[in-house]
Amino acid sequence: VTKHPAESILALYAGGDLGIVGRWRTARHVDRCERCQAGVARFEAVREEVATLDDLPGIAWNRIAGEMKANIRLGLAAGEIVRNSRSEERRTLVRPRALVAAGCVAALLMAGFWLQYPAPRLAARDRGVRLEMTEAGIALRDGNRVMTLVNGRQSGVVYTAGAQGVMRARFVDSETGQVTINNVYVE
Amino acid sequence: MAQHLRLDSPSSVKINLPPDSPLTLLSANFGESRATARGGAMVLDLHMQLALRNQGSRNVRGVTLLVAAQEVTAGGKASVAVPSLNVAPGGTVPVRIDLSLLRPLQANPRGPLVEIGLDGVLFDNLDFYGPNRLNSRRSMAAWEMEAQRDRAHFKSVLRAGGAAALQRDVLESLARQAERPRLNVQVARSGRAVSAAAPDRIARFAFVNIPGAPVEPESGWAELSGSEARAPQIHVRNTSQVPVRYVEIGWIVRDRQGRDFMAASVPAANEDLHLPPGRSGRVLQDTSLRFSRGGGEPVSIDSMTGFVSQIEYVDGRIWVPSRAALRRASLLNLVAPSPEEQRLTDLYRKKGLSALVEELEKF
Repeated sequence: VTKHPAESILALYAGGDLGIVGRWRTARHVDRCERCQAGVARFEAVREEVATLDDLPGIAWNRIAGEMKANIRLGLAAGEIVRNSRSEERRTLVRPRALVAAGCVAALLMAGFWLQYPAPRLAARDRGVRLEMTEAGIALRDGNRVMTLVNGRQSGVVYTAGAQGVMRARFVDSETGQVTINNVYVE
Repeated sequence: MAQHLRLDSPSSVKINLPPDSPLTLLSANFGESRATARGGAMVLDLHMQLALRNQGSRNVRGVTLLVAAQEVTAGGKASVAVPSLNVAPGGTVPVRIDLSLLRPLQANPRGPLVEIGLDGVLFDNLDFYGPNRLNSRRSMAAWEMEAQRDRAHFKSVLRAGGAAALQRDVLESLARQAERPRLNVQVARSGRAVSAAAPDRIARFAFVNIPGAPVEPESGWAELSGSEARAPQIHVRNTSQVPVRYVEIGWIVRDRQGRDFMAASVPAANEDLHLPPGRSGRVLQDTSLRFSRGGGEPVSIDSMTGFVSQIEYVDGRIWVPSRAALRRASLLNLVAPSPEEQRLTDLYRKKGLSALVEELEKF
């Protein structure tokens, strides 16, 4: 059964944002897969369109898109490191020691590459999108731009924050008398 | 000019309930839900009411739904949980969804704009059904433990002192809820500073002892910079006889005027922790929190205090502090009321003492 790349991978591929290994691996699949070719074409079309549009009033979507790509990249990097280390383990069972050593060096270089690669992006995102909890509700904030995700119009809303990146607004529904908890996630 | 699209059909909002789900969809009212295209993004304003029927054989105590427009970045995913239920087999669980989400304008144009799925259902015997992608099993089990604790408390007050004593206790609770000190909080993940400032200092946590806690905090610290705290980490030791797989620490900050605020909870990252009896481990979060008051005035952090607020044993049992322990540790005025306490006191506020007594006598 053919395993198709995730949509996020295709999106990065369409934008030329995949790393060397990811780009090679995805290209190899896309060349042979009509479904994924269509997906890439769709992302390319969106990319061209988005480039012509202004930021969303109230929130800078283009900046969020940057954040999105950075998050995907970080995830890919971590995944690559795990995959590399696992495949290295497998190789040690079937190949001579010299190959093991070479593989380990390659894995180390690869890991170093992937670890290094997103670092400048992270630094650039220091003032990026974050969640904000106020008496008015829970909002996505980007500098001075704010988009409300959960409105605090109900009375008696209890807000709580989790350091893992979750914010909760909890209130008693006036119609049902039930407690409802809205959870919003940073990532 | 913004373009609006009403979200009123299954093609725009997909509700996924697995075939073997103990909850089935009875009705879905899409209300004034709509999608608005702005720039390169689509803002989805959801104002929906779902009715789910309990098809199982046990009472449902909690439900969590995952609501997703995209799951890659902030603003694309949320969840709605309804704890403190007691819905018998054949009964209906109403779930209200009032949220806004963001998605790219033309991502997967043929698919639905929003997908709503079941993350979990908790039953009265603490059995759980669902994919549990959001760790809703643990959250709902903890809310259920708090609910049992607080129902037992109000029932014991009623038994010991009658309706008048219950009324006094509920009024005290309502006063605590109204007077609970609050802060505005901003949170960013991955160690990203909310501001660009370098940390002023590394501050150590002081700890409040919670009698009966199966885990003891040993040391902890976070980077402080004005009104911002980053990268909290706390070392804990399992003092119980049972292995522990999850620890959550309550995080209190004190401002320069000596006022304490419940800032956030610091949960152990999922894979980080496995604490056999007597062993130590670390609770840490790569996160950054900034605190301010209502008008946006930054709150300068003077010191920090932590306390053990939740434990999950390796067998899935959940521990939460008792009310007596919270009172003795002077935390009852700081921590948020449990969902059940919030519901019961709201019932008293809206329908009076007799309705509350009737509710407490139900189970």
